[in-house]
Order: sequence, then structure tokens, then C-alpha cells
Amino acid sequence: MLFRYVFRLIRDEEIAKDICQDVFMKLYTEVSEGKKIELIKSWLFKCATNDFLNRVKRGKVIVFEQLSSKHESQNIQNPEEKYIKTERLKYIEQAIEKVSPNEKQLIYLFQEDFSYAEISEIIGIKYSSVGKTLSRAIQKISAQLHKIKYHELY
Amino acid sequence: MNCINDQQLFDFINNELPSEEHEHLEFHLNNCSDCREVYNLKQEEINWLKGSMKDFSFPLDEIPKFIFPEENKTHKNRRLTSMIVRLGIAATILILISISILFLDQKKRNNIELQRIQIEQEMLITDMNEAWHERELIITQTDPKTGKSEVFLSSEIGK
Repeated sequence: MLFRYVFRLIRDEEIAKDICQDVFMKLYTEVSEGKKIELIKSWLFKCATNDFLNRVKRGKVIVFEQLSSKHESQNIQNPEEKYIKTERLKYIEQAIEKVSPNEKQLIYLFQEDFSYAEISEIIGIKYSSVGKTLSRAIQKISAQLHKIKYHELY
Repeated sequence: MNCINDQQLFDFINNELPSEEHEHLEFHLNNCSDCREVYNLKQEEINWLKGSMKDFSFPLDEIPKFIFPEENKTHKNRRLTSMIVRLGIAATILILISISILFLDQKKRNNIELQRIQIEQEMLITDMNEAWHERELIITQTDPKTGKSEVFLSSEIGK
């Protein structure tokens, strides 16, 4: 789940692997030193987000691989269904690319079923801004999907 | 939609409204067909988007596995190193304190010695003044053969 989130932000498998390893290493160290972490899931995502932002600031992330068919759902056997889902995902990811980086982070966390409070903790924005930004981002994505007439295709 | 704004509806769908407001909206949706229709569309849109995005995944063998550091060995080494560093810092501080104490003590001793010399010099000057007042001279006589010096007052010459 964490890897999926990080990969989606940077679209580079090697950097995503690095970030995940660093984040879990940090967790391992903190726990070994006897520090208490209350919400591990949020803590991991927060660390990963900070790590990602630091790399962006230092100019270490150049990004963006295109999605390939290996990233789509692994559990579907029916080729037709798999094709539809693959295409759908491509359109959605293309639409997500059009929103701001901040909105993109929010969307990916929302998709991972985090609550507003958890998202505000992870990204470090006000609780009251989470709902508004999310709702705006979803509206933008829907508008983008309508623009490319996605709904007529699938 | 006039009764409920988009933001309220969005927060309602995500179960993020305060309980009182949530109940109020629920009651309204049960009684307003227009709002109910908008609600259904919005919920369908969000669920569709969330669900479709969840199709994004990786082959299991490509999901990275966390590589544990060389078990306790590395951890113990790190602790040992950190302890050695701390001990080193403590020892350095102790040595610096000892040196500064010794230095201060020496300075104190030097001051006492300096004071003693000053007092002796003052006393000598006083003796010379007294001799002058007595119209006496302090004579230093050196024997060229032996090289020995003898000091005496002029008044003592006749004696």
C-alpha cells in the first residue's frame, strides 16, 4: 500500500523502493530505541511523504515513467475485463496528472481510505482544508474525464 | 441543488460531518427527491473513482521487501560506538577542567610570589631613605683579589 502510494507520486520504481526502505528503516530504529508510535500507518505515510518532498526539494526526483500493463490489477483473469480496467486506469491517471501535486497527494491518500484527520496529519494541512481540497480535486478529475469523453468510451 | 451544497454532500458521503449535522442531512435526503438524486450520482462517482484507482497494483514479486539491518550485531555495534563516543567526550571535558584548575592555581601562586617581591623591594627602598636622612652612605666594597663584596654604612667606617 505504501509502495503503491509512493510509486504513484514519483513513478520511479527504484526511488519508490528506496523511500520505502528508508521509511521502514526509520520505523525499525525508532521501535528499537523504545519510542512509541501510536498510528503506525499514518506515521509511515507521513514519513514517506516527507521523504518524497525532501527529494523533490533537493531536485533528486525527475520522474515520470508511464504506467505499464504490469501495474494494473493482478487478480483479473478475463482478458476483456482486464483490458477495460487497464484503459480506465490509464484515463484516470492521465486526469490525475492534470491536478496540482498537493491535490494529487490528497487523492492518493483518500483512495487508500484515510480519514480527513489522518490526511491532515500526514500532509500537514488544516483539517478544514482537506474536504474542500479533495472535493475540488475530484471535480477537476471528473471534468477532465468528461473532456476526454471517457464516459462515452467505457 | 438548493438545499445542500456540494461540500456538505461530499463530507456527508465521506462520513466526515459532525453527528448532528450528519443526522440532519440524512433526514433531509430521505425527504427531498432532488437532493437524493444528486446524492446518488455523487456517491456513485466517488465510489467509481476510488474503486477504479484501487485497480492499480504491482505483481507480488515486485513489491519491495524490507531488508532488516544485520540483526542485533549492527545495532549492538552502533550502541557500543555511541557509548565510546560519549565516554570520549566526558573524558575530554574532565581533562579540560583539570588543566584549567591547575592553570588557575599556578597563576595564584605567581601572584603571591610577585606580592612578596614587591614588599621586599619597598622595604629596601625604605632602608635607603632612612640612611639618606641619617646622612649616611651605603658603601659597597669589593676585594679585587677574592672578588668578595662587603656592604657597610659610612658611619661605621671610623669604628
